[in-house]
Amino acid sequence: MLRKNIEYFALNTWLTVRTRSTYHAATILKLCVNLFVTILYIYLWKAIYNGREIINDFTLPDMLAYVFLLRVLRNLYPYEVSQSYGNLIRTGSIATMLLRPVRIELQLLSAAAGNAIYDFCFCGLPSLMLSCFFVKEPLNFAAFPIVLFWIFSSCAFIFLLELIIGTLSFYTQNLWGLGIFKGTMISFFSGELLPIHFYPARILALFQWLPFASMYYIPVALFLEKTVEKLGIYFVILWGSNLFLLLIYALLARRMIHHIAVQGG
Amino acid sequence: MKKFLGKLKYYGKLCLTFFKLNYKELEISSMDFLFGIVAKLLSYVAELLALFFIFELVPEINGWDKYQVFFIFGLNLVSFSLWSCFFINTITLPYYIERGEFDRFLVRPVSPLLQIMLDGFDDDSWGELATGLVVLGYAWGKLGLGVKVLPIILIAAFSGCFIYAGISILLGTVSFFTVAQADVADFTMQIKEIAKYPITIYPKVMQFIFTYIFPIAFVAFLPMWMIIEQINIYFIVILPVVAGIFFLIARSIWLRGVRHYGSTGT
Amino acid sequence: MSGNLIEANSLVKEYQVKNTEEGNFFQRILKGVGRHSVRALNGISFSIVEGEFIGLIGNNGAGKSTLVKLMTGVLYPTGGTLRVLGRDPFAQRNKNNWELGVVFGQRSQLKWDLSAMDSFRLLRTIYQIDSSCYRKNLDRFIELFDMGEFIGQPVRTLSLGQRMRCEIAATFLHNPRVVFLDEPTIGLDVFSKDAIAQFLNVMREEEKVTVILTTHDLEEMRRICDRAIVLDRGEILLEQKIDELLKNYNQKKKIIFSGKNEEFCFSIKSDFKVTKKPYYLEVDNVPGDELPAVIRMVVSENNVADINIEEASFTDVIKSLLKEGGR
Repeated sequence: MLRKNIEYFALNTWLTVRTRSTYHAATILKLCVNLFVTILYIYLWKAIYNGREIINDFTLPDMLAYVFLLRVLRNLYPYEVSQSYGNLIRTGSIATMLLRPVRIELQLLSAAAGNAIYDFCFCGLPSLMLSCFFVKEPLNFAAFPIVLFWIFSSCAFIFLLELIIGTLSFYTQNLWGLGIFKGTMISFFSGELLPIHFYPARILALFQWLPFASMYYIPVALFLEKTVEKLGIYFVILWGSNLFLLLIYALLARRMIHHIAVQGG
Repeated sequence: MKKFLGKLKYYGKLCLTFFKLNYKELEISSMDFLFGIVAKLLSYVAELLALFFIFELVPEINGWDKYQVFFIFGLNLVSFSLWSCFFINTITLPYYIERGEFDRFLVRPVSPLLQIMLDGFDDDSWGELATGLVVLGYAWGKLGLGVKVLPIILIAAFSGCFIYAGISILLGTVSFFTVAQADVADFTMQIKEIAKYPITIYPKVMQFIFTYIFPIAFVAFLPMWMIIEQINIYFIVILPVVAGIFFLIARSIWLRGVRHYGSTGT
Repeated sequence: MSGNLIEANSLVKEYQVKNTEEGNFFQRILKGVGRHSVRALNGISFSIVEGEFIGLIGNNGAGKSTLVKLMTGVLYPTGGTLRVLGRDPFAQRNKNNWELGVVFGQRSQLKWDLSAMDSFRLLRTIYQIDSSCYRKNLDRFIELFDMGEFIGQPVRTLSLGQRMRCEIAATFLHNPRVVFLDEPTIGLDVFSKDAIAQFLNVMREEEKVTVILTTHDLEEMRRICDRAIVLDRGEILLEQKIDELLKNYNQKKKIIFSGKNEEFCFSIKSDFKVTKKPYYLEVDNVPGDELPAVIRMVVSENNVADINIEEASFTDVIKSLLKEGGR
């Protein structure tokens, strides 16, 4: 049973990669947009720093490294899942998907993994290579395993969140609006627009306890050898949230699937 | 002349009909619609807050002070919301082509570009417009510009709208040539991000591109600069001229693309 | 001016198609992909007179859709000339399309979330139909198609049959001179197909409209169309009035024998098409005058219980044509 699931997961992930690889123009465009945005933020931060040495514990090279790492991570996180899930629900295709011998969540997860791998190879890696020109910053590779684990945990967090949002679209008939809302919340709380350590002190004090902070700030901080106090607490918050989201999702999904099975979408 | 008036009347009626129908469509998913407007509004508020926070840390960016940057942000947003209102459907062109629905437009006796525009002619960008106006107004007040710049701002807003239109049309036209689901929508949004900030933060090469090739500098930055520097008011005419030329170039490339479509029938 | 509504001369349409199967992923990225040209239409000529109902048949990929797209101005030809309503359909597309109507079978021109009625109103504005004409057509179509019930419902809630009726009504709303129907009856139930056939026949009598119908349903084409144009691999295999077509090819008949022999023996050397199954023998392509001889021979050599004689159906005629013509 477990083995079958693993096989399916690997297969579907690879299939997703293959599918993406047929869209050459789209890949190139996505890469260009990514590089574009990265460059945009690089120059923005250069202008903001404008000769200053350090702001809030981050030097300019730190900040530039942050920009690059942010872009790479952004491609890894499974952002599109809620839209796919919601679309499946809206069009009713979910009924077919539910009939398959594999859980729908696994299907979505493997697709997300495939996309993450593909985007990392074709968007993330080129960005990283580009970064070598801009950033001469020693990275703390010793922290790599922890960082990887943290990224994995954040992926789980985002994935669960996406699942919930997708399910919510079933209950509220709202797909598009919810998607935008989710995007805004995530980007604001996690520091996509602006790294959260630049938020005013009072707000930072609040946000840092949210699991969103783990998405970008902590992995990058670890990589850059910043001291991150109370790592353990963040860990607990992150996985606590994951469990909490899992519970919520289980509740929502059960009702939804029951409803679909009975009514046929 | 009479023919021209007749045509105008026809197009006016057409726009109205489309608008009414689109509104009807929105009514159906009105909750989602409302929610979407609010969500978009929130996203712009979040961006604004980010900008605020930045200015808590530094007094100016590249020589431009807080209110000047806010002015650019506001004007950019207003132009973008106008574009969103009229031209936003141009970014769905790749989807139409991919599903073979583009033929449907060609078969009607109206320009397909106009049809595509009208098909998406609704205003879910109220939130954007409102935010943009508020920010613009705020910066306007703080900069002490006075009422005399109102016509400039109006001209700039509409010129900016057409510049964005030129960009989205150009990007959409790419899908005539590559037969792939290109993510045009994303690209247009990113262009908006560039125009948000003073272009002097970019290296000379990029400044050149953004001024002379893809004139997004003309959307918000240059108008702001012209107002601040108290440039002679007659120079303001350069905004619609540039917007017009760019739009026409985009349109002729579009026509080229339609012709190419006619040869390959993707 | 030859008075032909549509005229094509040595019409050629070529596509550049990518060679997608060469090499693996990396080879393709590095080397780029070659192209070869495909001739969808290989120099065809035909003419259509006003008021005719033409049936366009052919296997998938024979060039039917390409031809329709050429005639409606979506594509332009690689060679040859094409005149629709006296104009070049691509160059003067905007002008021509006032008088054209098109139904693309798989794609809808109606707005999905709104009712058909709303889409009709939109079409009225687009085609500048004046209100009396609009009202008259609308009432007529509603009656012909029995649409009154569902015309106010959102299009996405309609069944395929209902939707197709709306589509066709929408196409005729502005009194076009030429209507192209590209596979309109795919997937429809018998009643809807009937309704559409009836509708088209009414249109033929009351309006002087020219219709070009693409379909795979040959019986339907026999019901509606005057003339058939058979396309195969970009060339016109046959172009003939349907009555004549049937007459010419109906001389051949099919005899079906069934009886107690597990295997029938059939010893006549000929180019009849013989199908043998347990207790069953089918002899196709028998010319009318050879019928008695064949029957006599089979009956004498076998234990025949039942004989059935069928005329070649239109479908068989076309099938044999396409097979003959095919290489």
